[in-house]
Amino acid sequence: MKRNLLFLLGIVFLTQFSFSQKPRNHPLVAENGECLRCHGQTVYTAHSTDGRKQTKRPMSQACIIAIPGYQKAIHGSLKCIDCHAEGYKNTPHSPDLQFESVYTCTDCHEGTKKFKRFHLDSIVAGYDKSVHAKAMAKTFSCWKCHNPHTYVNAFSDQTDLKSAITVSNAACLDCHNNAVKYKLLTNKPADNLIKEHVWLKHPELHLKNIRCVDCHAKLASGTFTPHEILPAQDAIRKCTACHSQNSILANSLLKSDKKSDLLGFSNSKSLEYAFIMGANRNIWLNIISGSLFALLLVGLFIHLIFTLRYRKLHKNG
Amino acid sequence: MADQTLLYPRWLRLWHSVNGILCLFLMVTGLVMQYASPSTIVFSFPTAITVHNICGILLILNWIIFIIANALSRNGSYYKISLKLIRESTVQFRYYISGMFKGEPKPFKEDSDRKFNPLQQLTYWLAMYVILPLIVITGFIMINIEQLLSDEHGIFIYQIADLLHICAAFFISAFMFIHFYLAALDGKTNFKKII
Repeated sequence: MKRNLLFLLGIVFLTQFSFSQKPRNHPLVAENGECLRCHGQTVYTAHSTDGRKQTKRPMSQACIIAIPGYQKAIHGSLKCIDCHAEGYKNTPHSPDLQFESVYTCTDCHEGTKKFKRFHLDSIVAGYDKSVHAKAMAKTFSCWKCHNPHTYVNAFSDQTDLKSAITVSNAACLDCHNNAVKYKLLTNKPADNLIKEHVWLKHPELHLKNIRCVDCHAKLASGTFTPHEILPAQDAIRKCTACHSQNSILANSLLKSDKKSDLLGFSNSKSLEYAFIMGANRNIWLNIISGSLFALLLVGLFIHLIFTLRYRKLHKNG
Repeated sequence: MADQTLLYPRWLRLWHSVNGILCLFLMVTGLVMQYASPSTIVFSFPTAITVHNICGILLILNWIIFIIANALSRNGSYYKISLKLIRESTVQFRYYISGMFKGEPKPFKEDSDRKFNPLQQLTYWLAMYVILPLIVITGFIMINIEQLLSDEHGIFIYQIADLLHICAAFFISAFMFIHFYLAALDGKTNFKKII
């Protein structure tokens, strides 16, 4: 038992240092000051064309850029007009600017050496087959899930796996748990997530501790985050898909460099924040218990042979 | 020969049967959960969890009945341990592994003061007063997984409880095999006494 405890303490020790990324915090870009003077606030001041009158107006929620969030975001070092039209320099902004075309991730990142490891081509191929692309081809884009002003890489920017899962799921919940945003994309009634997942033994536990995409999307080879979001009826509903040694999570959420697995726990990455029955097994414990049980059965069998032999001899004579 | 109806009253036989059946279900469903696989055929994973939880709670109730009944009846006196008992257990163990094959008489006779031989008394005490409480307490901790995982240290408590639960389950399972085997050695007599 002491040995098992040491295994467990070892796992906890190892996983404490598996995420050591320092949170990013870009300095404010000077050129963005003019934009953020209005868009970084909840209230802005509108001026009349002759400049004589001015009035305070509430900024539309969708147009507010939370400055601390932008500084922490991957794109926080960019100027606003790197992505937005030059026309935004003029105020008040022309209504036509609302229809400016937005960039997708691949417009900037495709073909660059730095992004090769993200397999953008597989991501795009997966997205093209997703229920989002098929049902909302005209209205959907990368930004519906990955807000460019707050986007952080869930797994390399977070301090622990649980936080990474929360960040990853926030992309889904931003619409699927928000009736107003959901209505912008579809006329269907908003989801009641707990009700939809009540068939699981512990719905809330599952919703908080694994990524939505682990059950609701198909993983393309080479990628870590699946983008082929499946129709709800095609999502994984078999418990043992995850709750087994060959858990599907082993190739995505719990994909590890195998260092921590050396302590004997399968899918050990999850031990940092959970214990997945059937998936977290300890090979040493299995070997010890299996050997002891085999020894017990062999011992009882030998005892039985001796007993029968003795009884036969005793009976005969 | 002691009066069997006094040594094995009806409540005890009923309790023992319920305990045995529950342990058997818990063992099978526990294995399905621990070694969960898409190809499992005995119980599906969610069914195994439901059956395991229900049987676990019934086992707790059955254990409480056993403790209360032992306190109110003579049966409790058969589950006392002492250093002398440990020494006597080695004599009984020696009989099982060699004496019985040489035609030696049983070293301890069953009577109204000694229902079990020393080895039985020691292992039954360990099973009922050490391992079963351990398995019940750790199982009860694990049922409350939602609360545990929302607490900062909860996951560590859960992981320790899980490991202890599995180890205790292993000893109970091994005990059941040996218990059944030794009971079967005397033919139908032992089964008639307790069922």
